[in-house]
Amino acid sequence: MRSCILIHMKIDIQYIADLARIHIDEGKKASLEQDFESILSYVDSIQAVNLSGDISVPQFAMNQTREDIAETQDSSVRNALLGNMPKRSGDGLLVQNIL
Amino acid sequence: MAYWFRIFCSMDITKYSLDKLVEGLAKKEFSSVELLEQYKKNIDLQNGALNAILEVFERAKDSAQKADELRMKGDHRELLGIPYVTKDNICIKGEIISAGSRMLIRHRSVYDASVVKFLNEAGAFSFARSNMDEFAMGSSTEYSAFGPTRNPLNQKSVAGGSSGGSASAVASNMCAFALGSDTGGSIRQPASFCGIVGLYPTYGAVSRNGLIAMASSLDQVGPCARSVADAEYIHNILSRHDPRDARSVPLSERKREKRKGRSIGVPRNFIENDGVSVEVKANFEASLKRLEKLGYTIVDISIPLIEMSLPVYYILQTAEASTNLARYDGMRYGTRVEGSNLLETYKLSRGEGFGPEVQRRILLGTYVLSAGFFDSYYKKADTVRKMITRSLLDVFETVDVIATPTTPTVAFPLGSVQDPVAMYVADLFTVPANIAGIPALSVPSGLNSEGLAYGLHFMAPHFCEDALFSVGKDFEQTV
Repeated sequence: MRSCILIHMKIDIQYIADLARIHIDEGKKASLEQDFESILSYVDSIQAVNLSGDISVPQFAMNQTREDIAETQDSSVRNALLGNMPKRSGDGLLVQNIL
Repeated sequence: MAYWFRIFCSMDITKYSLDKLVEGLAKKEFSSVELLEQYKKNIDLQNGALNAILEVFERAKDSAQKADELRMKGDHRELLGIPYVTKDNICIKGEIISAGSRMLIRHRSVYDASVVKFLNEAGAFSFARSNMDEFAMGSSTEYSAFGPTRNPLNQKSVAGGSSGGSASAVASNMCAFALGSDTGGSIRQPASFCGIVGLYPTYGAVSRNGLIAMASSLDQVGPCARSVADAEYIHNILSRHDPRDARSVPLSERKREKRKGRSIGVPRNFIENDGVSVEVKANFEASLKRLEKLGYTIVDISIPLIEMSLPVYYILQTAEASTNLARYDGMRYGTRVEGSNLLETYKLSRGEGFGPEVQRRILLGTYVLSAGFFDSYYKKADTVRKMITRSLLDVFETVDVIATPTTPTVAFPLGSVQDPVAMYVADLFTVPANIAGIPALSVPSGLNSEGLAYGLHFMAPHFCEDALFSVGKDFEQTV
Protein backbone atom coordinates (compact mmCIF):
# COMPACT_ATOMS: atom_id res chain seq x y z
CA MET A 1 0.00 0.00 0.00
CA ARG A 2 1.50 3.32 -1.07
CA SER A 3 0.75 6.47 0.87
CA CYS A 4 -1.46 8.95 -0.93
CA ILE A 5 1.49 11.31 -1.35
CA LEU A 6 3.65 8.72 -3.02
CA ILE A 7 1.20 6.75 -5.09
CA HIS A 8 1.03 9.14 -8.04
CA MET A 9 4.72 9.89 -8.34
CA LYS A 10 6.85 8.04 -10.85
CA ILE A 11 10.34 7.39 -9.62
CA ASP A 12 12.86 9.59 -11.38
CA ILE A 13 15.75 7.17 -11.53
CA GLN A 14 18.05 9.67 -13.18
CA TYR A 15 17.46 12.18 -10.39
CA ILE A 16 18.22 9.57 -7.72
CA ALA A 17 21.27 8.36 -9.61
CA ASP A 18 22.56 11.93 -9.85
CA LEU A 19 22.06 12.36 -6.09
CA ALA A 20 23.91 9.09 -5.51
CA ARG A 21 26.66 10.05 -7.95
CA ILE A 22 26.25 6.86 -9.97
CA HIS A 23 26.27 6.71 -13.75
CA ILE A 24 23.47 4.48 -15.08
CA ASP A 25 23.52 3.36 -18.72
CA GLU A 26 20.38 4.32 -20.63
CA GLY A 27 19.76 0.69 -21.49
CA LYS A 28 19.61 -0.29 -17.82
CA LYS A 29 17.24 2.42 -16.64
CA ALA A 30 13.99 0.67 -17.52
CA SER A 31 14.79 -2.53 -15.62
CA LEU A 32 16.17 -0.53 -12.72
CA GLU A 33 12.93 1.46 -12.54
CA GLN A 34 10.97 -1.78 -12.52
CA ASP A 35 13.11 -3.22 -9.72
CA PHE A 36 12.80 0.01 -7.80
CA GLU A 37 9.00 0.03 -8.05
CA SER A 38 8.87 -3.57 -6.91
CA ILE A 39 11.12 -2.97 -3.91
CA LEU A 40 9.30 0.21 -2.92
CA SER A 41 5.95 -1.56 -3.11
CA TYR A 42 7.33 -4.11 -0.69
CA VAL A 43 8.81 -1.70 1.84
CA ASP A 44 5.79 0.59 1.59
CA SER A 45 3.96 -1.88 3.86
CA ILE A 46 5.37 0.04 6.83
CA GLN A 47 3.07 2.93 5.96
CA ALA A 48 0.21 0.89 7.41
CA VAL A 49 1.83 0.68 10.84
CA ASN A 50 0.18 2.78 13.52
CA LEU A 51 2.93 4.54 15.48
CA SER A 52 1.53 4.35 18.96
CA GLY A 53 2.30 2.52 22.15
CA ASP A 54 5.46 2.09 24.17
CA ILE A 55 8.59 2.37 22.09
CA SER A 56 11.09 2.74 24.89
CA VAL A 57 13.92 0.27 24.43
CA PRO A 58 17.20 -0.09 26.33
CA GLN A 59 20.21 1.41 24.60
CA PHE A 60 23.36 -0.57 25.25
CA ALA A 61 25.43 0.67 22.33
CA MET A 62 25.94 4.42 22.72
CA ASN A 63 28.23 6.45 20.50
CA GLN A 64 31.48 6.83 22.39
CA THR A 65 34.10 9.21 21.15
CA ARG A 66 37.79 9.29 21.90
CA GLU A 67 40.44 11.95 21.58
CA ASP A 68 41.73 12.39 18.04
CA ILE A 69 45.40 11.88 18.77
CA ALA A 70 47.85 11.58 15.92
CA GLU A 71 49.94 8.43 16.24
CA THR A 72 53.27 8.04 14.53
CA GLN A 73 53.25 5.17 12.07
CA ASP A 74 56.17 3.58 10.32
CA SER A 75 56.81 4.32 6.66
CA SER A 76 55.19 1.07 5.52
CA VAL A 77 51.77 2.41 6.52
CA ARG A 78 52.35 5.64 4.64
CA ASN A 79 53.59 3.74 1.60
CA ALA A 80 50.56 1.45 1.74
CA LEU A 81 48.21 4.44 1.81
CA LEU A 82 50.03 6.01 -1.12
CA GLY A 83 49.98 2.70 -2.93
CA ASN A 84 46.19 2.59 -2.74
CA MET A 85 45.78 5.92 -4.52
CA PRO A 86 44.38 5.54 -8.05
CA LYS A 87 46.59 8.31 -9.44
CA ARG A 88 49.46 10.11 -7.83
CA SER A 89 52.40 12.31 -8.47
CA GLY A 90 55.14 11.55 -5.97
CA ASP A 91 53.41 11.70 -2.60
CA GLY A 92 50.56 13.76 -3.96
CA LEU A 93 47.13 12.44 -4.82
CA LEU A 94 46.15 13.60 -8.31
CA VAL A 95 42.55 14.66 -8.88
CA GLN A 96 40.83 16.80 -11.47
CA ASN A 97 40.65 20.48 -10.70
CA ILE A 98 37.31 21.88 -9.67
CA LEU A 99 37.91 25.50 -10.53
CA MET B 1 65.10 -25.58 14.00
CA ALA B 2 63.95 -29.13 13.91
CA TYR B 3 60.79 -30.21 15.62
CA TRP B 4 59.17 -33.58 15.80
CA PHE B 5 55.60 -34.57 15.21
CA ARG B 6 53.69 -37.72 14.58
CA ILE B 7 51.31 -37.76 11.70
CA PHE B 8 48.09 -39.74 12.06
CA CYS B 9 47.75 -40.46 8.35
CA SER B 10 44.46 -42.22 8.77
CA MET B 11 42.77 -39.30 10.54
CA ASP B 12 41.44 -36.32 8.65
CA ILE B 13 42.53 -33.46 10.87
CA THR B 14 40.71 -30.95 8.67
CA LYS B 15 37.45 -32.24 10.17
CA TYR B 16 38.58 -31.76 13.75
CA SER B 17 36.77 -29.44 16.13
CA LEU B 18 38.72 -26.55 17.62
CA ASP B 19 39.20 -28.40 20.89
CA LYS B 20 40.74 -31.39 19.12
CA LEU B 21 42.93 -29.14 16.98
CA VAL B 22 44.18 -27.23 20.01
CA GLU B 23 44.89 -30.52 21.82
CA GLY B 24 46.51 -32.11 18.78
CA LEU B 25 48.83 -29.14 18.23
CA ALA B 26 49.71 -28.94 21.94
CA LYS B 27 50.57 -32.65 22.05
CA LYS B 28 52.52 -32.30 18.79
CA GLU B 29 50.39 -34.96 17.11
CA PHE B 30 50.63 -32.74 14.07
CA SER B 31 52.17 -29.35 13.38
CA SER B 32 50.61 -26.10 12.28
CA VAL B 33 52.46 -26.44 8.97
CA GLU B 34 50.96 -29.88 8.41
CA LEU B 35 47.50 -28.65 9.40
CA LEU B 36 47.78 -25.73 7.00
CA GLU B 37 48.95 -28.03 4.21
CA GLN B 38 45.91 -30.24 4.71
CA TYR B 39 43.56 -27.25 4.48
CA LYS B 40 45.40 -26.03 1.38
CA LYS B 41 45.07 -29.50 -0.13
CA ASN B 42 41.31 -29.32 0.39
CA ILE B 43 41.30 -25.89 -1.19
CA ASP B 44 43.25 -27.17 -4.19
CA LEU B 45 40.86 -30.10 -4.60
CA GLN B 46 37.58 -28.25 -4.15
CA ASN B 47 37.93 -24.53 -4.65
CA GLY B 48 37.92 -24.72 -8.42
CA ALA B 49 34.32 -25.89 -8.19
CA LEU B 50 33.20 -24.05 -5.04
CA ASN B 51 34.99 -20.69 -5.41
CA ALA B 52 34.82 -20.22 -1.63
CA ILE B 53 38.36 -18.84 -1.29
CA LEU B 54 39.49 -15.79 -3.26
CA GLU B 55 43.11 -15.89 -2.17
CA VAL B 56 45.43 -17.88 0.04
CA PHE B 57 47.96 -15.41 1.40
CA GLU B 58 51.60 -15.88 0.38
CA ARG B 59 52.74 -15.54 3.97
CA ALA B 60 50.50 -18.41 5.16
CA LYS B 61 53.26 -21.00 5.41
CA ASP B 62 55.56 -18.54 7.18
CA SER B 63 52.83 -17.89 9.74
CA ALA B 64 52.41 -21.62 10.34
CA GLN B 65 56.17 -22.19 10.63
CA LYS B 66 56.49 -19.32 13.06
CA ALA B 67 53.69 -20.79 15.19
CA ASP B 68 55.47 -24.17 15.31
CA GLU B 69 58.74 -22.47 16.29
CA LEU B 70 57.04 -20.49 19.03
CA ARG B 71 55.48 -23.68 20.37
CA MET B 72 58.90 -25.30 20.59
CA LYS B 73 60.05 -22.28 22.61
CA GLY B 74 57.26 -22.78 25.12
CA ASP B 75 54.47 -20.56 23.76
CA HIS B 76 51.21 -22.05 24.97
CA ARG B 77 48.64 -19.56 23.73
CA GLU B 78 45.29 -21.20 23.33
CA LEU B 79 44.89 -20.94 19.55
CA LEU B 80 48.57 -21.03 18.63
CA GLY B 81 48.98 -22.26 15.07
CA ILE B 82 45.28 -22.48 14.18
CA PRO B 83 44.68 -21.29 10.58
CA TYR B 84 41.41 -19.47 9.91
CA VAL B 85 39.77 -17.67 6.99
CA THR B 86 38.42 -14.14 6.95
CA LYS B 87 35.61 -12.77 4.81
CA ASP B 88 36.86 -10.41 2.12
CA ASN B 89 35.56 -7.38 4.04
CA ILE B 90 37.75 -7.80 7.13
CA CYS B 91 41.10 -5.98 7.12
CA ILE B 92 44.29 -8.02 7.18
CA LYS B 93 47.30 -5.70 7.11
CA GLY B 94 49.10 -5.78 3.78
CA GLU B 95 46.57 -8.05 2.07
CA ILE B 96 44.01 -7.25 -0.61
CA ILE B 97 40.56 -6.45 0.78
CA SER B 98 38.06 -6.12 -2.04
CA ALA B 99 34.65 -6.68 -0.36
CA GLY B 100 33.83 -8.87 -3.36
CA SER B 101 33.86 -5.76 -5.56
CA ARG B 102 35.68 -4.38 -8.58
CA MET B 103 35.63 -1.06 -6.72
CA LEU B 104 38.37 -2.33 -4.37
CA ILE B 105 39.96 -4.96 -6.60
CA ARG B 106 43.50 -3.74 -5.91
CA HIS B 107 43.04 -2.20 -2.46
CA ARG B 108 45.32 -3.35 0.36
CA SER B 109 44.52 -3.02 4.05
CA VAL B 110 46.88 -0.81 6.02
CA TYR B 111 45.93 -2.27 9.38
CA ASP B 112 44.51 -5.40 10.99
CA ALA B 113 40.87 -5.41 12.02
CA SER B 114 40.43 -5.59 15.79
CA VAL B 115 38.90 -9.09 15.55
CA VAL B 116 42.02 -10.21 13.65
CA LYS B 117 44.26 -8.65 16.33
CA PHE B 118 42.37 -10.50 19.07
CA LEU B 119 42.64 -13.84 17.30
CA ASN B 120 46.32 -13.20 16.51
CA GLU B 121 46.94 -12.43 20.18
CA ALA B 122 45.50 -15.87 20.93
CA GLY B 123 47.98 -17.36 18.47
CA ALA B 124 45.74 -18.05 15.47
CA PHE B 125 46.52 -16.68 12.01
CA SER B 126 44.37 -15.74 9.03
CA PHE B 127 45.64 -17.49 5.93
CA ALA B 128 43.03 -16.74 3.25
CA ARG B 129 40.14 -14.45 2.36
CA SER B 130 36.75 -15.81 1.38
CA ASN B 131 34.27 -14.84 -1.31
CA MET B 132 31.21 -12.76 -0.55
CA ASP B 133 28.35 -10.87 -2.10
CA GLU B 134 29.65 -7.48 -3.13
CA PHE B 135 29.83 -5.14 -0.13
CA ALA B 136 27.85 -7.74 1.82
CA MET B 137 24.72 -7.03 -0.24
CA GLY B 138 23.14 -10.31 -1.12
CA SER B 139 21.84 -13.62 0.17
CA SER B 140 23.51 -16.07 -2.18
CA THR B 141 27.12 -14.96 -2.94
CA GLU B 142 26.00 -14.72 -6.56
CA TYR B 143 26.61 -10.97 -6.51
CA SER B 144 30.37 -11.24 -6.01
CA ALA B 145 32.40 -9.56 -8.73
CA PHE B 146 34.58 -12.69 -8.70
CA GLY B 147 31.97 -15.32 -9.48
CA PRO B 148 29.48 -17.16 -7.30
CA THR B 149 30.33 -19.51 -4.46
CA ARG B 150 28.76 -22.94 -4.62
CA ASN B 151 27.32 -25.06 -1.87
CA PRO B 152 29.56 -28.01 -0.90
CA LEU B 153 26.45 -30.08 -0.15
CA ASN B 154 25.12 -29.66 -3.67
CA GLN B 155 27.19 -27.72 -6.17
CA LYS B 156 24.17 -26.73 -8.24
CA SER B 157 22.93 -24.72 -5.26
CA VAL B 158 24.00 -21.44 -3.74
CA ALA B 159 26.08 -21.28 -0.60
CA GLY B 160 23.94 -18.45 0.72
CA GLY B 161 25.21 -14.97 1.48
CA SER B 162 26.69 -12.68 1.92
CA SER B 163 29.27 -14.75 3.88
CA GLY B 164 28.87 -17.64 1.45
CA GLY B 165 32.59 -18.10 0.97
CA SER B 166 33.23 -18.40 4.71
CA ALA B 167 30.38 -20.88 5.20
CA SER B 168 31.34 -22.94 2.17
CA ALA B 169 35.00 -23.00 3.30
CA VAL B 170 34.12 -24.33 6.77
CA ALA B 171 31.63 -26.87 5.38
CA SER B 172 34.25 -28.22 2.97
CA ASN B 173 37.01 -28.39 5.59
CA MET B 174 39.18 -25.72 4.07
CA CYS B 175 39.88 -24.10 7.47
CA ALA B 176 39.44 -24.51 11.22
CA PHE B 177 36.80 -21.79 11.29
CA ALA B 178 35.99 -18.62 9.38
CA LEU B 179 34.93 -15.11 10.23
CA GLY B 180 31.94 -13.62 8.50
CA SER B 181 29.88 -10.47 8.87
CA ASP B 182 26.15 -10.34 9.49
CA THR B 183 23.89 -7.36 8.86
CA GLY B 184 20.59 -9.10 8.08
CA GLY B 185 21.51 -12.78 8.32
CA SER B 186 24.71 -12.91 6.30
CA ILE B 187 26.40 -15.39 8.63
CA ARG B 188 23.41 -17.40 9.76
CA GLN B 189 21.71 -17.90 6.40
CA PRO B 190 24.80 -19.27 4.58
CA ALA B 191 25.61 -21.31 7.68
CA SER B 192 22.16 -22.89 7.45
CA PHE B 193 22.47 -23.49 3.69
CA CYS B 194 25.90 -25.13 4.09
CA GLY B 195 25.03 -27.20 7.17
CA ILE B 196 27.28 -25.48 9.70
CA VAL B 197 26.88 -23.18 12.72
CA GLY B 198 26.72 -19.40 12.43
CA LEU B 199 26.41 -16.73 15.12
CA TYR B 200 25.23 -13.12 15.06
CA PRO B 201 26.47 -11.64 18.35
CA THR B 202 24.66 -8.94 20.29
CA TYR B 203 25.17 -5.64 18.48
CA GLY B 204 28.07 -3.94 20.23
CA ALA B 205 29.57 -7.16 21.62
CA VAL B 206 32.21 -7.57 18.91
CA SER B 207 34.29 -4.77 17.45
CA ARG B 208 33.52 -3.54 13.93
CA ASN B 209 36.89 -1.76 13.65
CA GLY B 210 38.45 -3.00 10.44
CA LEU B 211 35.18 -4.35 9.01
CA ILE B 212 34.19 -2.60 5.79
CA ALA B 213 31.00 -0.87 6.86
CA MET B 214 27.73 -1.83 5.26
CA ALA B 215 24.99 -0.69 7.67
CA SER B 216 26.58 0.67 10.80
CA SER B 217 23.68 0.08 13.20
CA LEU B 218 23.26 -3.54 12.09
CA ASP B 219 26.74 -4.95 11.24
CA GLN B 220 28.53 -7.45 13.45
CA VAL B 221 31.41 -9.87 12.91
CA GLY B 222 30.83 -13.46 13.93
CA PRO B 223 32.08 -17.02 13.49
CA CYS B 224 31.19 -19.64 10.90
CA ALA B 225 32.07 -22.86 12.69
CA ARG B 226 31.75 -26.63 12.63
CA SER B 227 29.96 -26.82 15.96
CA VAL B 228 28.26 -24.67 18.57
CA ALA B 229 31.22 -25.23 20.90
CA ASP B 230 33.58 -23.90 18.23
CA ALA B 231 31.37 -20.84 17.67
CA GLU B 232 31.32 -20.23 21.41
CA TYR B 233 35.10 -20.58 21.61
CA ILE B 234 35.66 -17.94 18.94
CA HIS B 235 32.95 -15.63 20.23
CA ASN B 236 34.49 -15.63 23.70
CA ILE B 237 37.79 -14.43 22.22
CA LEU B 238 36.16 -11.73 20.09
CA SER B 239 33.60 -10.44 22.58
CA ARG B 240 35.25 -7.53 24.38
CA HIS B 241 35.11 -3.78 24.54
CA ASP B 242 37.10 -1.99 21.85
CA PRO B 243 37.51 1.80 22.04
CA ARG B 244 38.20 1.80 18.28
CA ASP B 245 34.54 0.90 17.66
CA ALA B 246 32.40 3.82 18.81
CA ARG B 247 29.43 1.54 19.45
CA SER B 248 31.34 -1.17 21.27
CA VAL B 249 29.58 -1.78 24.58
CA PRO B 250 31.80 -1.62 27.70
CA LEU B 251 31.81 -4.83 29.70
CA SER B 252 30.19 -3.11 32.70
CA GLU B 253 27.19 -2.18 30.52
CA ARG B 254 26.58 -5.71 29.25
CA LYS B 255 23.78 -6.39 31.67
CA ARG B 256 21.95 -9.64 31.34
CA GLU B 257 19.79 -11.68 33.60
CA LYS B 258 20.60 -15.26 34.39
CA ARG B 259 18.27 -17.47 32.41
CA LYS B 260 17.18 -20.45 34.50
CA GLY B 261 14.30 -21.85 32.50
CA ARG B 262 14.34 -23.86 29.31
CA SER B 263 11.38 -22.38 27.54
CA ILE B 264 11.39 -21.82 23.79
CA GLY B 265 8.95 -19.40 22.19
CA VAL B 266 7.65 -20.22 18.72
CA PRO B 267 5.95 -17.45 16.71
CA ARG B 268 3.71 -19.76 14.69
CA ASN B 269 1.87 -16.99 12.84
CA PHE B 270 5.19 -15.70 11.58
CA ILE B 271 6.31 -19.14 10.43
CA GLU B 272 2.98 -19.95 8.74
CA ASN B 273 3.98 -17.83 5.78
CA ASP B 274 3.33 -18.87 2.16
CA GLY B 275 6.98 -18.27 1.37
CA VAL B 276 8.13 -20.93 3.85
CA SER B 277 8.41 -24.32 2.17
CA VAL B 278 6.51 -27.36 3.38
CA GLU B 279 9.72 -29.30 3.97
CA VAL B 280 11.22 -26.50 6.08
CA LYS B 281 8.06 -26.36 8.21
CA ALA B 282 8.13 -30.14 8.65
CA ASN B 283 11.79 -30.11 9.65
CA PHE B 284 11.10 -27.26 12.08
CA GLU B 285 8.30 -29.19 13.79
CA ALA B 286 10.51 -32.26 14.03
CA SER B 287 13.25 -30.10 15.58
CA LEU B 288 10.82 -28.80 18.19
CA LYS B 289 9.86 -32.38 19.07
CA ARG B 290 13.54 -33.20 19.61
CA LEU B 291 13.85 -30.22 21.93
CA GLU B 292 10.77 -31.28 23.88
CA LYS B 293 12.30 -34.72 24.40
CA LEU B 294 15.32 -32.98 25.92
CA GLY B 295 13.05 -31.32 28.45
CA TYR B 296 12.51 -27.95 26.79
CA THR B 297 9.05 -26.41 26.95
CA ILE B 298 7.66 -25.12 23.65
CA VAL B 299 5.46 -22.06 24.06
CA ASP B 300 3.35 -20.55 21.29
CA ILE B 301 3.98 -16.81 21.17
CA SER B 302 2.99 -13.82 19.16
CA ILE B 303 5.48 -11.05 18.32
CA PRO B 304 3.60 -7.92 17.23
CA LEU B 305 4.97 -6.31 14.07
CA ILE B 306 7.60 -9.01 13.52
CA GLU B 307 6.42 -9.29 9.90
CA MET B 308 7.54 -5.67 9.41
CA SER B 309 11.18 -6.57 10.12
CA LEU B 310 12.10 -7.14 6.50
CA PRO B 311 10.60 -3.89 5.09
CA VAL B 312 12.12 -1.94 8.01
CA TYR B 313 15.46 -3.61 7.37
CA TYR B 314 15.52 -2.78 3.67
CA ILE B 315 14.82 0.87 4.39
CA LEU B 316 17.34 1.32 7.20
CA GLN B 317 20.05 -0.90 5.74
CA THR B 318 19.95 0.68 2.30
CA ALA B 319 19.91 4.17 3.81
CA GLU B 320 22.94 3.44 5.98
CA ALA B 321 24.72 1.63 3.16
CA SER B 322 24.18 4.52 0.75
CA THR B 323 25.93 6.75 3.28
CA ASN B 324 28.73 4.28 4.01
CA LEU B 325 29.46 3.67 0.35
CA ALA B 326 29.60 7.38 -0.49
CA ARG B 327 33.32 7.24 0.31
CA TYR B 328 33.97 5.11 -2.77
CA ASP B 329 34.29 7.97 -5.22
CA GLY B 330 37.44 6.96 -7.08
CA MET B 331 39.53 9.64 -5.40
CA ARG B 332 41.75 8.47 -2.55
CA TYR B 333 41.43 4.73 -3.20
CA GLY B 334 39.47 2.30 -5.30
CA THR B 335 38.62 2.10 -8.95
CA ARG B 336 38.75 5.38 -10.81
CA VAL B 337 37.28 5.99 -14.25
CA GLU B 338 38.23 9.42 -15.54
CA GLY B 339 35.46 11.64 -16.83
CA SER B 340 35.59 15.08 -18.42
CA ASN B 341 35.22 16.69 -15.01
CA LEU B 342 35.29 15.74 -11.34
CA LEU B 343 31.56 15.08 -11.03
CA GLU B 344 31.61 12.84 -14.08
CA THR B 345 34.60 10.99 -12.65
CA TYR B 346 32.65 10.26 -9.45
CA LYS B 347 29.68 8.95 -11.43
CA LEU B 348 31.69 6.86 -13.88
CA SER B 349 33.89 5.40 -11.16
CA ARG B 350 30.90 4.36 -9.09
CA GLY B 351 28.98 3.16 -12.13
CA GLU B 352 31.90 0.97 -13.14
CA GLY B 353 33.09 -0.11 -9.71
CA PHE B 354 29.75 -1.15 -8.22
CA GLY B 355 27.73 -4.14 -9.39
CA PRO B 356 23.95 -4.11 -10.02
CA GLU B 357 22.76 -5.09 -6.52
CA VAL B 358 25.00 -2.53 -4.85
CA GLN B 359 23.76 0.15 -7.24
CA ARG B 360 20.15 -0.85 -6.57
CA ARG B 361 20.59 -0.59 -2.81
CA ILE B 362 22.50 2.68 -2.94
CA LEU B 363 19.74 4.17 -5.09
CA LEU B 364 17.05 2.92 -2.73
CA GLY B 365 18.94 4.25 0.26
CA THR B 366 19.43 7.60 -1.40
CA TYR B 367 15.72 7.74 -2.21
CA VAL B 368 14.52 7.01 1.33
CA LEU B 369 16.87 9.65 2.71
CA SER B 370 15.99 12.29 0.13
CA ALA B 371 13.94 15.41 0.79
CA GLY B 372 10.25 14.67 0.83
CA PHE B 373 10.67 10.99 1.67
CA PHE B 374 12.87 11.02 4.75
CA ASP B 375 9.97 11.22 7.22
CA SER B 376 7.75 8.67 5.53
CA TYR B 377 10.47 6.10 5.00
CA TYR B 378 13.60 6.43 7.12
CA LYS B 379 12.11 8.12 10.18
CA LYS B 380 9.09 5.84 10.15
CA ALA B 381 11.22 2.73 9.73
CA ASP B 382 13.38 3.82 12.65
CA THR B 383 10.31 4.13 14.86
CA VAL B 384 8.90 0.78 13.73
CA ARG B 385 12.32 -0.70 14.49
CA LYS B 386 11.98 0.38 18.12
CA MET B 387 8.48 -1.08 18.23
CA ILE B 388 9.70 -4.44 16.95
CA THR B 389 12.53 -4.39 19.48
CA ARG B 390 10.01 -3.66 22.23
CA SER B 391 7.84 -6.59 21.05
CA LEU B 392 10.78 -8.98 21.16
CA LEU B 393 11.95 -7.83 24.59
CA ASP B 394 8.39 -8.18 25.93
CA VAL B 395 8.26 -11.76 24.63
CA PHE B 396 11.53 -12.54 26.41
CA GLU B 397 9.73 -11.82 29.69
CA THR B 398 7.86 -15.09 29.11
CA VAL B 399 10.37 -17.32 27.27
CA ASP B 400 14.13 -17.82 27.35
CA VAL B 401 14.81 -18.11 23.65
CA ILE B 402 12.78 -17.82 20.44
CA ALA B 403 13.03 -20.48 17.72
CA THR B 404 12.24 -20.31 14.01
CA PRO B 405 13.67 -21.97 10.93
CA THR B 406 16.78 -20.09 9.82
CA THR B 407 15.60 -19.78 6.24
CA PRO B 408 12.24 -20.13 4.46
CA THR B 409 13.70 -22.66 2.02
CA VAL B 410 16.78 -24.84 1.67
CA ALA B 411 19.57 -23.55 -0.57
CA PHE B 412 18.09 -22.65 -3.94
CA PRO B 413 19.66 -23.44 -7.33
CA LEU B 414 22.23 -20.99 -8.70
CA GLY B 415 20.63 -18.41 -10.95
CA SER B 416 17.09 -19.35 -9.92
CA VAL B 417 16.22 -16.17 -8.01
CA GLN B 418 16.32 -13.09 -10.23
CA ASP B 419 13.69 -10.91 -8.58
CA PRO B 420 15.41 -8.75 -5.94
CA VAL B 421 12.43 -8.87 -3.56
CA ALA B 422 12.32 -12.68 -3.77
CA MET B 423 16.00 -12.70 -2.81
CA TYR B 424 15.37 -10.37 0.12
CA VAL B 425 12.72 -12.73 1.52
CA ALA B 426 15.48 -15.29 2.15
CA ASP B 427 16.33 -13.16 5.20
CA LEU B 428 12.79 -13.33 6.62
CA PHE B 429 13.71 -15.10 9.86
CA THR B 430 17.20 -13.73 10.41
CA VAL B 431 16.54 -10.00 10.07
CA PRO B 432 14.56 -9.47 13.33
CA ALA B 433 17.69 -10.18 15.39
CA ASN B 434 19.64 -7.48 13.54
CA ILE B 435 16.78 -5.00 13.86
CA ALA B 436 16.71 -5.47 17.64
CA GLY B 437 20.47 -5.99 18.07
CA ILE B 438 19.91 -9.30 19.87
CA PRO B 439 22.13 -12.36 19.43
CA ALA B 440 21.04 -15.23 17.21
CA LEU B 441 22.44 -18.64 16.33
CA SER B 442 21.82 -21.03 13.45
CA VAL B 443 22.39 -24.71 14.08
CA PRO B 444 22.13 -27.47 11.42
CA SER B 445 18.91 -29.45 11.81
CA GLY B 446 19.20 -32.15 9.18
CA LEU B 447 19.38 -32.76 5.43
CA ASN B 448 16.64 -33.20 2.86
CA SER B 449 16.46 -35.93 0.25
CA GLU B 450 18.77 -33.97 -2.08
CA GLY B 451 21.38 -33.58 0.63
CA LEU B 452 20.59 -29.91 1.24
CA ALA B 453 20.65 -28.61 4.79
CA TYR B 454 18.03 -27.22 7.10
CA GLY B 455 18.88 -24.82 9.90
CA LEU B 456 17.26 -24.07 13.26
CA HIS B 457 17.45 -20.46 14.40
CA PHE B 458 17.48 -19.28 18.00
CA MET B 459 17.28 -15.72 19.29
CA ALA B 460 18.01 -14.60 22.86
CA PRO B 461 17.93 -11.28 24.75
CA HIS B 462 20.85 -8.87 24.54
CA PHE B 463 24.14 -10.37 25.79
CA CYS B 464 22.53 -13.77 26.44
CA GLU B 465 24.72 -15.66 23.98
CA ASP B 466 25.17 -18.28 26.72
CA ALA B 467 21.51 -19.23 26.40
CA LEU B 468 22.01 -19.73 22.66
CA PHE B 469 25.10 -21.87 23.13
CA SER B 470 23.36 -23.96 25.77
CA VAL B 471 20.26 -24.80 23.72
CA GLY B 472 22.36 -25.06 20.55
CA LYS B 473 24.70 -27.66 22.07
CA ASP B 474 21.76 -29.65 23.43
CA PHE B 475 20.03 -29.62 20.06
CA GLU B 476 23.19 -30.47 18.13
CA GLN B 477 23.45 -33.79 19.89
CA THR B 478 20.03 -34.86 18.66
CA VAL B 479 20.79 -34.36 14.97
